[in-house]
Amino acid sequence: MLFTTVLLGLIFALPFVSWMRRFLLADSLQFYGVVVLPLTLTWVWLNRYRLMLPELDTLMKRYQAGRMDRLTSAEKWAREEREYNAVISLLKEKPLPPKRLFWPLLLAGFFTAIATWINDPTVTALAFCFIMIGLVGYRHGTQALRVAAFPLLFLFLLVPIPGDLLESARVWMTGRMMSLLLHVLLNLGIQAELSLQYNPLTVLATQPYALWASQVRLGLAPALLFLVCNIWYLSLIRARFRTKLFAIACGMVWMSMLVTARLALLAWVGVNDKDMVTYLAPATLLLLPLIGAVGELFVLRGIKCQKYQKWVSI
Amino acid sequence: MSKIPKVGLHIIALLILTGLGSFGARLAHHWRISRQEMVPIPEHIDVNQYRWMGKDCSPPVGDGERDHPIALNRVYQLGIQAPVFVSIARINTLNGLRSPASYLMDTDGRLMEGNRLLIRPAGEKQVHYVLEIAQGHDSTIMLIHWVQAPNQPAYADYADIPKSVAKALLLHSTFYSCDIWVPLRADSNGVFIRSTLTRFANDIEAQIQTGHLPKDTANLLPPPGQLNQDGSPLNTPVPSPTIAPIPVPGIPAPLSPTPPGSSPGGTGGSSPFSNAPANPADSPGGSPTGGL
Repeated sequence: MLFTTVLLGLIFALPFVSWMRRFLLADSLQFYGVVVLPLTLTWVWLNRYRLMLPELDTLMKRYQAGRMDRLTSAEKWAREEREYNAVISLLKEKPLPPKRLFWPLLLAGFFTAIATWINDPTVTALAFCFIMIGLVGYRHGTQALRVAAFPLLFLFLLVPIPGDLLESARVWMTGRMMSLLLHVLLNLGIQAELSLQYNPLTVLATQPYALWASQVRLGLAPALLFLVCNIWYLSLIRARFRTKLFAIACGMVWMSMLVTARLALLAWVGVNDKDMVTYLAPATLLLLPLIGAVGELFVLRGIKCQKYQKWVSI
Repeated sequence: MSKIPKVGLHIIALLILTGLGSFGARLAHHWRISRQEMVPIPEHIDVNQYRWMGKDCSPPVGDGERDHPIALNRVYQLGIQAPVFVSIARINTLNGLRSPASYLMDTDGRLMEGNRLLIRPAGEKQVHYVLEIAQGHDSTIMLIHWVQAPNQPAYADYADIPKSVAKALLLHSTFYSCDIWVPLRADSNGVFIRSTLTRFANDIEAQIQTGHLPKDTANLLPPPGQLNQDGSPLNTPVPSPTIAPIPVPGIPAPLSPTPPGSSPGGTGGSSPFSNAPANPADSPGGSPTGGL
């Protein structure tokens, strides 16, 4: 394990720096990339017992098939007992050896060498994800790949998106956000107009104030960071998939409201005191994900979505 | 030997092989890049008898957006005229091919719609340059952009030469993304700036294509070591850069002599600073198409 980590570090240290440089560009939508690796490692640590025994699901089903008729309905749903039962089964029955796949790891290794030659951050990050999949698939088998599907897929968020694609997304989101802001301001009785390219939004007053999207930081980067953290957190929560989707949708609506409210506040302050905006913009930007998280916790509480998965060890 | 250590050994062996392969690939990459010399940009460029003197400058403000490519960045100055910035970057990653507004301007930078001019040399179908106006929250620039491989003509759009692009990205063959731009001021003369930018583009394109400047400019260049302290060639009459500048509000007109054919305010007939509408055919680069 130590050797593997050191070797991975040696191979991907330099590409890692280039990924981080992309994530930390001014007003980069992919700022969330900074937290992807720590969150993935935390997920693995929190689910370590589950990942250590990937065959548990199969064993538990086999065990329950023999014992189900003897259980009452209340007992059948006593999920807390499952782990105990399954572990007993594991001790009694020797599980089949895991089916290991060597070729994905081999291909990933080959691809890594090619990616290093190409030296594009997107390609090297993809190589990193493939080699992690290859390692899990060969070291722990295909069943472990299924169990570790979430962290492995989550790792793909580490792949820097090509600049032109990211720019298109940013322009589109900026347009939608500025249009929303214009409607909010007009409904609040503040006269404003939007340029043809949705940037800047000019608040009409005796001294007009032009609100440039990137100058005040629109808040899209914190919003996406919040979304990524929200998805990660919900993966630890015991709930149905559609409930989680609902929670994510609520979180995004809540975040959009926060971002718009912040921009409306900045536009209003900007008309009266432009200097104040330079202080207020970064301060409110930092608060966005925090207030967003508090609101999301209330949403999860409201839909009774608070219990962790049974294997999460906190 | 149990199975797990055996698997572990396989993994370590494969990672060592991958590491060696990656190390070799990295060395080969650096070797390949270091072997390629950047095209030399002329120290000065002459546009209509006026000599723009160049000096190195810092990369564009958003250079990180294109992964900090190896580049030659230079600023050319002529008296109090707005400086002409030149950036010749070698493309090695996909981000190097981004729209110039994303790295020449601040994060709010974007190209102004409807202000796009495609420039093609007279008699050619291939568009060589694209002339655009980009605006950010702090500044507005007029720019010319093109991509070019050595010994090949310029192309306004990299999609026209997919093979060269693929070779640059996958095999790291030399491929340049070139930008020339001028910050626009309220009193900027668009015709003059367009003409200057096109002339700069012609010279640099020729430099990349043939390895030397076009004849008329090359003739003006003295052999090395025969330069004045200010960089001008010895015994070569170079017009004063302060002659007939574009009038800047609040700054009095210079008292220096006026070149023949131009009025002291710089708005006269045949001066390069003239406001007279440019005939596309007179443009050094050829005929522009589109609207600006």
